[in-house]
Amino acid sequence: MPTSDRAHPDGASAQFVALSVALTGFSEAELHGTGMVPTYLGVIPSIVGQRHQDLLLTRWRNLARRAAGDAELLERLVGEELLADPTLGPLAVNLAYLWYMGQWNQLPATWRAVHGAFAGDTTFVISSQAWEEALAYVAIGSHPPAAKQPGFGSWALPPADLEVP
Amino acid sequence: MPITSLASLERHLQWAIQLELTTIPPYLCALYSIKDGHNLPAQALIRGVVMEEMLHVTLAANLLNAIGGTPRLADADVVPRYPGKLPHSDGKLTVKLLPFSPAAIAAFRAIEHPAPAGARAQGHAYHTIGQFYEAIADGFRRLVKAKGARAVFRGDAARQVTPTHYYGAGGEPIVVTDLESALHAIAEICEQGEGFDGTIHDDDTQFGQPDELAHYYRFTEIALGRSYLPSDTPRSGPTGPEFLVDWDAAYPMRPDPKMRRWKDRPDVHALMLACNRRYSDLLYTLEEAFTGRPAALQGAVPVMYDLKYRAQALMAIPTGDADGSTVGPSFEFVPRPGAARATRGAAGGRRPRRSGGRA
Amino acid sequence: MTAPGTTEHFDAIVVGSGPMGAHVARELGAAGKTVLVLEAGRASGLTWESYRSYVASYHTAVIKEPNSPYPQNASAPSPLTTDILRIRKGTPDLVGYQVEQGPQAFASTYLRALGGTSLHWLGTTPRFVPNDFRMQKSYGVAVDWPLSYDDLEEWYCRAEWSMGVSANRADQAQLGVWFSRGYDYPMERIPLSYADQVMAKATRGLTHEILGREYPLRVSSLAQARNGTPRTGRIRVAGTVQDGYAPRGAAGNPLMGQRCEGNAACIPICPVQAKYSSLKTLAECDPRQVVLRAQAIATKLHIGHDGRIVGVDYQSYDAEGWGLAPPVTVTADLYVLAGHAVENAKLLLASGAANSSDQVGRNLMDHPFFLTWALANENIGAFRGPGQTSGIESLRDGAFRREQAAFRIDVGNWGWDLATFPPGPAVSELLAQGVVGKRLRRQLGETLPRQVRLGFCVEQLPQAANRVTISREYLDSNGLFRPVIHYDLPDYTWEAMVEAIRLSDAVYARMGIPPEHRHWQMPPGQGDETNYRARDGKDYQLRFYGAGHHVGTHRMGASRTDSVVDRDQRSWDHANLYVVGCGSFPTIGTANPTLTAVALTLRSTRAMLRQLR
Repeated sequence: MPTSDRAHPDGASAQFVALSVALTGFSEAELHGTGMVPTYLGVIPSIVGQRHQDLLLTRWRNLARRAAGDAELLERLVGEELLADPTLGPLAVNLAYLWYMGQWNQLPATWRAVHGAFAGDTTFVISSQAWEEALAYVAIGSHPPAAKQPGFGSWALPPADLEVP
Repeated sequence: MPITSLASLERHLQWAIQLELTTIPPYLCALYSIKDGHNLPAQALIRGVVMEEMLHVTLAANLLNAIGGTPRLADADVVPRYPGKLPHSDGKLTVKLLPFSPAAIAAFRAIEHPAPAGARAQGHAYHTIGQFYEAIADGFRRLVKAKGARAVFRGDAARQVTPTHYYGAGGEPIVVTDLESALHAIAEICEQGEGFDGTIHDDDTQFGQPDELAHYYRFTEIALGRSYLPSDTPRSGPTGPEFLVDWDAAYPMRPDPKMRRWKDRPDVHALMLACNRRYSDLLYTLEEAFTGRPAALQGAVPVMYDLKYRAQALMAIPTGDADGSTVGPSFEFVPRPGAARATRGAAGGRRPRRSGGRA
Repeated sequence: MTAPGTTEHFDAIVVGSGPMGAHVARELGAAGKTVLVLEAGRASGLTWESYRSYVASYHTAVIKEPNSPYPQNASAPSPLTTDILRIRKGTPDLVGYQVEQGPQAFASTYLRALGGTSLHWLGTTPRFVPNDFRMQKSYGVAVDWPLSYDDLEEWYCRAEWSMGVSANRADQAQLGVWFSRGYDYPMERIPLSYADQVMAKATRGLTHEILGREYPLRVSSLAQARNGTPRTGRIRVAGTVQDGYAPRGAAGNPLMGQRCEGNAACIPICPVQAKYSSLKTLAECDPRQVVLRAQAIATKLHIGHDGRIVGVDYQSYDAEGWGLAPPVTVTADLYVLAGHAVENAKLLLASGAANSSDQVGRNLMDHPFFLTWALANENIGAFRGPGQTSGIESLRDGAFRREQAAFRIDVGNWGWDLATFPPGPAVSELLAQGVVGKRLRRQLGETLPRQVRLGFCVEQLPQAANRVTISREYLDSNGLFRPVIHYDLPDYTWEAMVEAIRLSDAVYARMGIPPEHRHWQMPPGQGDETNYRARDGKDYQLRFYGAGHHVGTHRMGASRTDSVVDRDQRSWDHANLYVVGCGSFPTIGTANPTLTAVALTLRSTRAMLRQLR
């Protein structure tokens, strides 16, 4: 159910989550379940400034309007148009990687040449909790090393079916 | 009314299993609502209590198996519902699923409250858990006296869960074969919960565990924000160092979550259902282990870990309500398709009539 | 302990707090001797809190290399794989701690910390096979040890019980490995992973031909120092009878780590300490007898007129990077160097000690860790469990060892692991192609769980030119010697890598994996690449990792002319000096060396105690 249909106290946060859903393929509930929404909401603003996040979310709203509820179309628009944008693409890629690996990657040299080299823009893992909630491992039916360990003998069991909702 | 028949003793021991099971989801909700990396002492404390409750379930199963009964866990009639009462208690206590909070800890103290000195054994409509178990102990003694040990302890020894099958903190399961081991097992349950002989300790050294605080007193440490010294007594209260608690470092789970309230959010409902399936897997695994395959307990380990991560994820999901509450796990039983007892009162259904004549 | 101005004296001084040092300290302390353990690394890791801070460091490390949980120590640096991988042949990279003179990069690292390299090791503990001890006699290559498997067997039993090894003797009794009557491992074998089971099924009945002979390929469980299900009942262990076994948990928190929990991070850290590290043995030392002094770097041995060691200097630091205090001399009746193969050699060379044979630092060997990988046709549940739970032992010995190296094969549980470092790069690649959302999630889920990897620990022969040296040209920031490594591989070893390619091809083909999904060539940028012309006339561009199995730098022998220590690991030149650990190995075989080193060292403590009487 598209988030824009539901009343939400904080518009920017809901849009951020909706964009994250489209980028990651994880549901809104799954993303909230990581406990990382408040933290990740603040990453782009803290590194390259609120203006860039606002631009990103504005573009996102446009894409969502064009997709008009068609989730597959939306995903294609994000993958083909948003990621190809020279300014917003690297930010969107970084946001996806943030969810998948708990890590911010230094933006490409071409982006930095145009928009500036921000002091906080270095490759780093956001926090211990961010690593623990890295979604790449959920995608592959596992868990991040040294976190969310599944218990003695679990590795002997056949792998569970991976359901992509 | 005292327990004077084997059928009655079996019924009471089945209720004992249900009783111990009833305490576990509330403790887990408090534990899993604590935010990652916070309240480490409280986390360790509650985790320790949960491990001992798991041991109590196992001891109750061993007791029931020893007299030839059949433990039931993965059954809609048996799985506790919240809010609810302790099975066959006097009904004065309501057991709820709450996040880590002063209210939750107060409720836990009420559950584990020691029987007042001189309280009577009470097999039904009991006020404290201790009285309930005293009635069971009493029942064992009467029946052995009346019928002889062999007639009472007629169960299959292979069904006993032994230390080989069960590891980890909490203690070692006692293999029940006679009156002495039966009373031993009952004493272990009571003392870990309420304390030994009017003290704050559980006297676990005889069971090979370091001497620890009984559950009631552990929860008191959290409630009062102070630790007990070994020399403290129930009367003195805790006089030791500060027990640090940060009540804000917990997700404000909505009390007594229910899966059916999330039908309009398929993404949330899917996660709650998956968590409940895991919880049900745990009950099925325990039942399998307690009905002739104790080695199956090993399979419970990955299930418990997975249940924890799913429950913790649900704790972090906002309900969207103005109170800022979060979704939380509902610990509702989801019968497996095709299971024999799936028809009676599935999750969310009407509370079924208590079945009377079963052994 | 001593009045100011006087020198401290102990029965024994041990340099290094890894598995060797910890076992020596424990045994000597238990026998009532006073022991000082000097450890160069920081005074951290023995409490649960400090250990958990290592775990947090791992979580937030961008490059999760083997030493990443243990922050680089400016006062006592350790080599990092990231420094080594930057080396191009013949052009040493001087940024890292280790100076590499080549021609091959010596790709292995170790750790200077309380607990030593046993903090980051995988924990694999197979025994050597009997022929590993007699390569010259059996195959006409390398040299023979001055003792045999038979001599060491009871010590293997003791080492396995001391460290806590999970294995079944039936699986381990291959290629001549035998067990004393009534013995069994303290814990049952670690459950085989689902991937192991798939591999076992795929290789059933498969054989591999080397130089005219067929060898069966059989998947069997790996012995590992990792807590599993304890055995019950009475078990004979080297003349004593044990009544079951209680797994030892974490050093600072015994209720944690009683069983492996599947953290899948063994290298570089077990978050719960289910894996053995010497922290557990240090925790068993009698505190009335054993003094543990960390942040104390041993810099020089003093040699008296009669050839006995009369003191050792160490230099302390309070806060890392703030310089070292001037040397303090401590004395003992007995001195034991247990600082790992490279640091032991470095200290001996710096002291001009123990080297009448000119073998100190020489005969450095490692297991090149050669990888092949493939994409299975089905989900094999990759990325779960300990790094390796099974292997193929059958090619660890055989007549071919006259001509080419043996290897031990590990069946990997962590996908393509060191070959392509999943999942990060896989995520990046898909994003670069514009794949997002459910497609991204689905594609990762459909490919990564199918990743299979075989790892080959290939033996190499002792060569005098492979060595650790020191030079005034290469000092660390405190003016102490850095290890300078000269390293190369013989054709004997390169040929075996080509053999590994052939064998993997056959296994993957048996699994129905098409050729385009089978790989052995590592992507560019992963360190050295050697062009090797194999026996079949074809050229192969070969790359390998270091297994972290440094051995040989103070080898034992039957004669003082060609070895540094005798069969008790006692220096030929200094009657009260023992140099213990993997450096004592004359050959490397195919087994991970730590277990054998602990067995040898426990045996040496007998000689030490006789001497201290």
